[in-house]
Amino acid sequence: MDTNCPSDTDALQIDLDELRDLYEHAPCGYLSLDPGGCIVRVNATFRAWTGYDTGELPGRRFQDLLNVAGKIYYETHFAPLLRLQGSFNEVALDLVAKNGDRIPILVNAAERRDEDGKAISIWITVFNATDRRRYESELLAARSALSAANQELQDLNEELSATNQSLDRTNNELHAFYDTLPVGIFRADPFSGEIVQASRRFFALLGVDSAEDWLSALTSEDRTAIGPQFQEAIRAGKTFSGRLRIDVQDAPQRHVQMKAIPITNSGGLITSVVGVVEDVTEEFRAEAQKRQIDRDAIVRQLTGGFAHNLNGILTVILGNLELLEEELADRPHLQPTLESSFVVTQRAAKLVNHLLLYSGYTLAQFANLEVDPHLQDIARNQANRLAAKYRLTVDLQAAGAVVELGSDMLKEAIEELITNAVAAMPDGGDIHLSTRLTMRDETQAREIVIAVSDQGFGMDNATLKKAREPFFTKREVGMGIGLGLSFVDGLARVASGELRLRSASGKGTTVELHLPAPD
Amino acid sequence: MSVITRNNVQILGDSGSPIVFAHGFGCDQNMWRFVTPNFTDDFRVVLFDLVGAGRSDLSAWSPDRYSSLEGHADDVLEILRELDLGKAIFVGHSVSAMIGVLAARAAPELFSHLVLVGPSPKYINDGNYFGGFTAPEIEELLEFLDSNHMGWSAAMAPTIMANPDRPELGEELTNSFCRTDPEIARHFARTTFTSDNRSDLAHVAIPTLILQCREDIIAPQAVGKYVHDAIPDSQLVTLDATGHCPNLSAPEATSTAIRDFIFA
Repeated sequence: MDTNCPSDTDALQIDLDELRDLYEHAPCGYLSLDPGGCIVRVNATFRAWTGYDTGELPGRRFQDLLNVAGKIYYETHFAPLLRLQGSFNEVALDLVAKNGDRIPILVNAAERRDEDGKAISIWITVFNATDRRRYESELLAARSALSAANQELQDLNEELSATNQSLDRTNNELHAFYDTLPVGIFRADPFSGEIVQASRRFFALLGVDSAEDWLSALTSEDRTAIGPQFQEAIRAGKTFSGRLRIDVQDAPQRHVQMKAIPITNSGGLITSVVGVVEDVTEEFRAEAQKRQIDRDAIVRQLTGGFAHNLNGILTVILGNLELLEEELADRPHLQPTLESSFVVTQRAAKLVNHLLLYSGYTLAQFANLEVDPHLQDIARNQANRLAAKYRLTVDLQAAGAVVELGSDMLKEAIEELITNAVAAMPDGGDIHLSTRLTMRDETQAREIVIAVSDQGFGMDNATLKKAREPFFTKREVGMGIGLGLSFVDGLARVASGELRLRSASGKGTTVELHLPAPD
Repeated sequence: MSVITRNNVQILGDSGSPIVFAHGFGCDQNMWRFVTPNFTDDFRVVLFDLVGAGRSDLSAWSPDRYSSLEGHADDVLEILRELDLGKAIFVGHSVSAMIGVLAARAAPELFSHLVLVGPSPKYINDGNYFGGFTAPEIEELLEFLDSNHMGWSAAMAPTIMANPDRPELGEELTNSFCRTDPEIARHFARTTFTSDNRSDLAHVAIPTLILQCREDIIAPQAVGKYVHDAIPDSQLVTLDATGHCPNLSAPEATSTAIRDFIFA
């Protein structure tokens, strides 16, 4: 045996004194209790730890030496366990010494039983556990510190999560704000010139799903022109500004104004490019309309000046013709020549009159004219004049309505409209003349609508726009000089009314003359 | 999950009135092991573990449901309704005495007799009321449970866990009767020792026996008398026993007192 300890079998023989000495001074406390828990005997070690004298402990109960918690624990765990399983080990308790000090102990206990299982006595061994308890306290403290740290971590996580949520919310609010802006906004890469990010309205305006595809929204013309311009400007660090045209399926073309500016950092480096797109379709239309109105005014002015001069010339010619008529009364062979000169000059005067009317010169005679009976007469005359392949139907629903217009003027206007209708239907067809009373939308004043419709060629949008300009005609050269509608338009305007055209290619044309017809 | 599994309900005896034994704070239904043999011949003995104790289903435990004794009282009612054995004699030890009071108050039709062993409606002194403990002493107990579970329950756990499928092995494992998850034990201790059910006593409307130990620091004689005075139809019997667990220290006297009460 590899040990320095002497091995003496005689040492196993132990005498009573030695046994008593071991009992009294063993490095642990010994207690013997009766079955009811009363202390019968304790050893010197236990007395030394607790500070009690020899006679002070017998007769008391073990749990009387414990703190309150220990007493409860003794009653609810210690005693039941001893009774149920006869022993227990390593229960941690606190002894209260005579001077009130707490002594942490670990306790082992065993119940001595008779043959029937009845308790005879209880043996308790007590170990001083001061250091161990300190260690355990440290462990506990470490555990609660850990638990606190975990809690703190959890709190931090929750805080972080709340911050994230708040950030998300701010982000959403910002996005919602972008979406309410009347312009689309975007960000482009300053090096590639590609649009990398854009707001919802940007996509809506351009009708594309992704920012890279924005050029595909443009008309092919703009795509080839604007695309390179844009990228060139961005890469050069310049501001870009341009008008984009966008083809929209089954709807009029839209116009979008785009502007992009480079953003520089404090060091003067371009870090980003931001821009806006704005729908300017309405502005564009308004501009176009204004241009049209300006153009109309100029045309009317030119026409008016020209017609005015021509009117003077024709007046001279007519005067001269009348003089000649008297002078040449005795020369009958010259009469037909003179007569034809009169006719063409009067026709010229009538045309000039129409031009003047279109230009706003009010040479028309005005009278209170009851429309329906007058139109009835005109219709009767026209019906007789028209070829058999045309049928004129009449529906007059404006009985009693009176307009401020000379009867000749109205007659000429209706004749022009019927002439146009005939021209639109070379193979014949129905021409419909009607009147009705209505209220003008904006003023709620009563007006009469005189309408002439045909089932002829009709006009496309481009033609319709120009239809009322003087000298505009779709007829072949020599088939009319295109003053008809411009005359009717001028007539309507001088009578404080309006000419409205409704037409579509192949669907015929309806011309409506809206004239004030007060009660 | 059935309430039978949840509360590890055991039934001993084939016929007779049902008698339910409910254990108190600390251990489990084994607390009644020396008492039940005196009843299995002529009663159907029902034993169970409070949820969180013994071999109850720990997954059924929740700090909310069991933050007051009502949660356990509801369990008792669920068990009785599930067993459907007729009116029961309820014997409750320690904190289960109050659980019995709450259950009998809520559904008196399920009970014929109530036996309260070492009852206390409130452990902490309150004005003129003497419960036996001060609030700081109870706080000390809760701290104390912490230190014991550090070196004790934790060390015990693996041994128990090693035999989950063979409960008969676990039966005699050291300290297993009083084994409880430290978290649950602390929670139950707080629920138990901070409870106040004094106002429920007057509503007990069935014959009640109070079994009081001569010397019991947890439920002193003054508390037993308080309970007796508060419950209208009640008897108080003081056993010549010390400690809080006469079912262990004086099982014969305890059994006799209960039988005398039932057969009176």
